[in-house]
Amino acid sequence: MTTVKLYGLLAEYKDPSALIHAVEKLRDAGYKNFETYSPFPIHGMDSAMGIKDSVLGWIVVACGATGLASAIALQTWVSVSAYRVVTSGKLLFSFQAFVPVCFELMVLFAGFGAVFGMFALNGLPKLYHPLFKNHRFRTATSHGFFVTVESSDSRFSLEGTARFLQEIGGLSVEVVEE
Amino acid sequence: MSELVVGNDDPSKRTPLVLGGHDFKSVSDIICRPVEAKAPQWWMIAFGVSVSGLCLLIAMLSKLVWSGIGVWGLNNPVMWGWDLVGFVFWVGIGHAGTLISAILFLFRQKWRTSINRFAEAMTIFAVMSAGIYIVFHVGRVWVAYYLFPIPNSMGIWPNFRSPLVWDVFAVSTYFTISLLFWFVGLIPDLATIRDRATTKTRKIWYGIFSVGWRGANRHWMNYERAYLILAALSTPLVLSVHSIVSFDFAVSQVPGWHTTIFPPYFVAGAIFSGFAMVVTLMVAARELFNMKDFMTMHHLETMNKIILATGTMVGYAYGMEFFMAWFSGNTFEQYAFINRAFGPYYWAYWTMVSCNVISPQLFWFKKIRRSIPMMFIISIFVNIGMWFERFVITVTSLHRDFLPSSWFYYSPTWVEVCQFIGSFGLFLTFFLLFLKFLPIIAISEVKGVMPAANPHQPGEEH
Amino acid sequence: MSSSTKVPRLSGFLASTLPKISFLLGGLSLALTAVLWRGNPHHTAFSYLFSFLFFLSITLGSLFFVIIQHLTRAGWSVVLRRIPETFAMNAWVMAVFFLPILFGIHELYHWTHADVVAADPILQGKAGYLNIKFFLVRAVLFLGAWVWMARYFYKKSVKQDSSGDPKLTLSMQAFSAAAILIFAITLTFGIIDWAMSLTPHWYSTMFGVYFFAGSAVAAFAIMSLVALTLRRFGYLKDIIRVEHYHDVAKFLYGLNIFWAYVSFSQYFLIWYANIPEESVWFMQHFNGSWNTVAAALAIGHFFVPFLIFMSKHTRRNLTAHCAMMVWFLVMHCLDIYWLIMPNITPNGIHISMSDISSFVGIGGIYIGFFWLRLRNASLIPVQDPRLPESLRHHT
Repeated sequence: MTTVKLYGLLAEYKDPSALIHAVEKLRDAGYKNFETYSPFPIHGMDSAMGIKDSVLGWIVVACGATGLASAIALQTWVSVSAYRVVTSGKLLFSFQAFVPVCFELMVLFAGFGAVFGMFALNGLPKLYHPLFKNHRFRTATSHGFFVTVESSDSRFSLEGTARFLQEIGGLSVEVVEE
Repeated sequence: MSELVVGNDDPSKRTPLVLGGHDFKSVSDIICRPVEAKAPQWWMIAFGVSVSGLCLLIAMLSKLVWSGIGVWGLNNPVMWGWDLVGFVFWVGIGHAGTLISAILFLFRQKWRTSINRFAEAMTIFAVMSAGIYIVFHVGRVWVAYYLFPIPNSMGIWPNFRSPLVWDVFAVSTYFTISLLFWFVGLIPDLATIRDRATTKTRKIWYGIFSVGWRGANRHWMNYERAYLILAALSTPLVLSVHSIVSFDFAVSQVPGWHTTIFPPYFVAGAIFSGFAMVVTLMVAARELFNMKDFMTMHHLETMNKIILATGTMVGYAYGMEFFMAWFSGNTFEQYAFINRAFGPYYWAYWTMVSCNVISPQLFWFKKIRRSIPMMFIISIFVNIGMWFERFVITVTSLHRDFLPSSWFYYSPTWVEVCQFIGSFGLFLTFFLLFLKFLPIIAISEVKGVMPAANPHQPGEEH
Repeated sequence: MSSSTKVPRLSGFLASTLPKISFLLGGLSLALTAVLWRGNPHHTAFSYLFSFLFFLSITLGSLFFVIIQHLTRAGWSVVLRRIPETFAMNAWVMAVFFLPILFGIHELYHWTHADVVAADPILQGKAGYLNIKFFLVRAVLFLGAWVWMARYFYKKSVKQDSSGDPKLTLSMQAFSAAAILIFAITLTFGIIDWAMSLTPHWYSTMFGVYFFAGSAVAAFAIMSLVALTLRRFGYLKDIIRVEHYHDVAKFLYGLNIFWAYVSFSQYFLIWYANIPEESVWFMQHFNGSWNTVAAALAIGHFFVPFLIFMSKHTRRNLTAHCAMMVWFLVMHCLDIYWLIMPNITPNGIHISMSDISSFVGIGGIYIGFFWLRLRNASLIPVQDPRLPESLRHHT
């Protein structure tokens, strides 16, 4: 038999308010590798958990700039060198006429950046996760509010952390295996 | 900005967005029910009818491809008829979804949460119907890929100074971004269904499409940012798409087409028609799925106010066009507009004005704004009126050429009519599939606007 | 409720010294403008029209802000609303400042010359609209409508400060729907009359929307600047917070894109179709160094704010925010200048004494009356039923 590795502890809380208060205490107690789970984003949770702002904006700006640059390059190259046809008396390089496609490609690339950048930052798609084995956790996408503390946290101890989670309002504390 | 509320009369209070005293669990239960229950009888019947419509569309397109564009009633100088009318009609309807999702999101109009999913789905299917027209009207559809800048043995490249090429980019970008936006919004809800699933099939399929979502806060943070950015991108996108559609007409020198107000006027018209379609479908869906606690009268009334506002903007543009045609002192301009109102297609023009400008004015009355039958009828009128608007713009401007010897009276053939009916089949088939297999209200967003979702007790600073 | 909110009245420098300086400066500049007018009425009339339209656009943009906040039942903006309400009340100042335009009507609008019209069949066709009598009637109607609407909102809002009656909010909301219609029509035709008819052959259905977009940008910018000035002098520090400035910046960002969209569309459609009677306007406005001005507008009015305000940090940093607001106003000023002045200096931009004197003149009086009125009422609508929502506002 293989030894089962420990993922961490899972605790359920009553409502968004209880969750946010619990998290503030976890943070103040010095825990780092913990995470909350809720069926909707909770206002103020990011600062309660003490996590840094998302960097997604920069990814999107970079992608948008790439889209814009490719649109300019594509249109200029096609119109000025690859397929030189004068239409409706316009110059081969008519920047005015290139604006619509520039805009569209900028938005398209930026949109890809937003969606796939979000996936990348979140490590999705990830069809298997230890938490999925937990029965109680299934309500996390409907009406349950959870905290996990991972065993990799330096302050983690099975009994100590479990007791702490209970003290800060945890309704149930369960062990999650890898 | 804040809520467009007038449901109650006390300005210091906001109308609740979810009625019926629900908790988080009952919200999931109600919204997931259509997905988890057996399809009701009305759905089966409606689906059967829609699929027949889709078959009709396929038959008409096959005929078109087999015989050529000649099966349509187009002839010089009316080279655009029901094909372009149908395209603009559908793409216009496709604007409400992104408007509701994106613009109202940026304006923090929280009432949008229970209708955005629905409207976005409508957008995607409407753009599909529009795409059918734009792809098939090129004639030799098997070389439609020439529209894209793909290296080919002929060494031919698209003409980037042509509005039709901009259209290709605009509509395909719009479709892609709308689809992504919709999908991103769906992920948490698909996970909800996955976690509630009682059958293996559901578990697997919803499991795959929910990409392993588990509601972690670090995920929510990036997710919310992505959603905000997509909304910020979609807002100018939605304006650009219909503006570019209007460029198809307005960059030309055809009197009645070439006028500078076309871009915002088309956008206002698109929002107008899209909202009307949302109201039409929503009135039916809330009844059939018993979701009146989420799609409340307050929602419908707000939608009706937007229909009134955009209808009036469209009226402003009609008036402006007429004034400027006279003011321009250009006899061709003047003739084009007199001909619109009193020429051979006068019936189309006055249908358009009555449906688009006059009928929504009834929404000034609160009673009518809050009457289900009245809003249903008016929304249908608006849909009809907006179809006629595109007909008036496309056909009446073309049928009187600069050369009187080419003057022509265009009427559609049965193929065009059946193709248009068929496009509704395509739209409704997908829409019914959506109603059955996906949560029609954004579950996580609705929960987020419920009072219980606020973690801060009253009086607590944050 | 909000009765507990204590807001000090305006006093000291902003309440008395600043208006005095403004009036003095304005009066002297207007006197100088009058002297210049005697010397060169043709040029000075155009300078004056440019300054008039700039301050008119601020007034109308502010009126729009007030109407739209009521129309949408907005909560976040309540703490800011008194500023645009007060700016909109300057409509009567603009009505008085309109009189010199009548005085210079023959200098400005060549369709007013009977001999010109007699030789021009196109102008004869437009004579039903473009004639002095009807022009006057319209001007009275438009200016009257703005004064009336501004007073309606201001009086009710100030009345609510003492009575706290929520019914006043309801009546303002009810009126806002009609007001926005009146606003759209009067603004469109007002600007057709006073700016578009400078080149009476030319026409564009987008023109009203174009002027509206610029006005809205200017009004948001000046509103934020006034709020920042108040903050500088220690007023409303905890009331108009970074959250509100952030929202103003976001709206400005959107409106500025709208401005770019409208002006680009107008230019683009005319450029593409290239019909002589339409292109002539852009030929005139792209002639000589005006071309540089147009390019500067595209870059300065659109691209620079587009890039700088993209980041949340610049929107929320009050120093950067303040700089951007000044920038927006300068750009809007340049926009109006570019709109009007190629008529008088067709070969390129040429800033003259009368441009400056009429701008400072109208501006001084305008700003003076603004601060005077701001001192007469509470700085925010203290009893507005949605004030608590605005005070709590969080982006």
